[in-house]
Amino acid sequence: MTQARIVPLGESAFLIRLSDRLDREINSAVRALGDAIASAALPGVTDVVAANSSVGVYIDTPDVSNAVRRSLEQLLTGEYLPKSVNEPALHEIPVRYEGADLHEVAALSGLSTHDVISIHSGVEYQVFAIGFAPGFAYMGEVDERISVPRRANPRISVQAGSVAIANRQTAIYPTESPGGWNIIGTTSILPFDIGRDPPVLFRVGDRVRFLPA
Amino acid sequence: MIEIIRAPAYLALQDLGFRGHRDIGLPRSGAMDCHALSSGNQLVGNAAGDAALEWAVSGGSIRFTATATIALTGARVHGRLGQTMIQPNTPVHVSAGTVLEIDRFISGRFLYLCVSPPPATAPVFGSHSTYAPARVGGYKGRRLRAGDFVALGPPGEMAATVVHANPVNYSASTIRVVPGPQSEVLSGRLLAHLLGNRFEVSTSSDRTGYRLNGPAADTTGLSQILSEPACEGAVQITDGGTPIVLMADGPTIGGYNKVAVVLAADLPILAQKTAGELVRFALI
Repeated sequence: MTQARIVPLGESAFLIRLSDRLDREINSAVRALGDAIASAALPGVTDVVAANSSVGVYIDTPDVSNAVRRSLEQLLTGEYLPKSVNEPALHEIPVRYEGADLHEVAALSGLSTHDVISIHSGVEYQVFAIGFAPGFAYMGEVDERISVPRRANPRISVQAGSVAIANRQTAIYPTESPGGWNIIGTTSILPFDIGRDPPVLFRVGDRVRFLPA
Repeated sequence: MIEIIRAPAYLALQDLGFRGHRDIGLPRSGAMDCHALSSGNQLVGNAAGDAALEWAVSGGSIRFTATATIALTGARVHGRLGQTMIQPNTPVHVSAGTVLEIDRFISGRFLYLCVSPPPATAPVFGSHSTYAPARVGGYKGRRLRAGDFVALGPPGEMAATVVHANPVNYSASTIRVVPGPQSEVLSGRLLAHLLGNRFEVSTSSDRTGYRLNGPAADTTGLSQILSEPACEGAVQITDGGTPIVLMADGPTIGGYNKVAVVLAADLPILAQKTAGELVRFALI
């Protein structure tokens, strides 16, 4: 693991970068570091966001005394690696592979829709980041053979539960929203449900398998 | 209760926003101008972080079904109770049945109608704020429409009528920033470009972000970064070379280069700028 770097993100947040690259191992370390910072409950820290290869740490007032920064430096020297405070969960998501873009993805990939389905469902993905919308999990990596770019014209409305791919990533739309990813299927398991506890299904570092239903 | 009779283009419940949920992709949301929200609440005797009605774009009218104390802060508007003009930043007692009319906006973008007793919706994620893009919080997760009734809390103590001096200079056109995580990309040329030019607030600005028009920076050789945690006030340089400042509903992570971050104290000033207004950025 390369040396972690702490970079200010404005007056009231820090970014801790573990790497400029992204792979499963780095992302797992990011999850572990995020959990370690959150469980340290540093005074003034309101939010800890693990995403890809960085962790964002947000504080409620500017860190004028450098107290938070010093605590973070100290934490980074500790043994938070590689085991996460909370072990990553494995989620199995049943998918009806009949999305509006399934045929187009197949055509762009030079494959049959059957191949697209078996390739997409044949990988155990890792949640690398959550953002864009509450519960929207960026998962990777999608097999190169079915890696297609975002649609040139994003849709104004994508239904919640749409399973989609863009480049080397896949995701489930948690709520109805605009979206430019290629929709290959739908699931009844929603990543964000305000009536559920917890409302968000995935955490960064979790594993996800899609099962053809 | 407050009855929405004629809804403006934008009207929503906001308080100081969500806290502690950026990890699930939920931004702070909440008031675009936290200073105006807090000072208005203090004028009517509420806690600074109580919910208020955030009102923008156009006029409208609402009716109070019970007595209340109100104050208008933030944007300057032509507002009245019947034929009586309402002074800004001043607590006003309204009796049951009174109709408040906002005729038009004079300057600024977000008006805060602070009310005592304050709106009493059920909190979601610990806040009364409305994050409309995901239909979270506030009044059914959405903007208020004609015919909606917003419940107010039980009557509290008589509002304190202190005149609150307004320390935010909304007419300032210089927005203070600190260097962002990518301030040194392209040998610092993007940050220098940001600091060396004036920019105009674009019409395609909203609670998510303010797009700024102006001379485009030369982004030759610039690549997007691996998406990383972002923050409110982050000044991102788009592929086209112009800035976008992330605001209250801004994304929690992003892949644009953040060359600077606006000071929290100056976010209310920027938030109140309307399309066409000019700003420049100064590094502190």
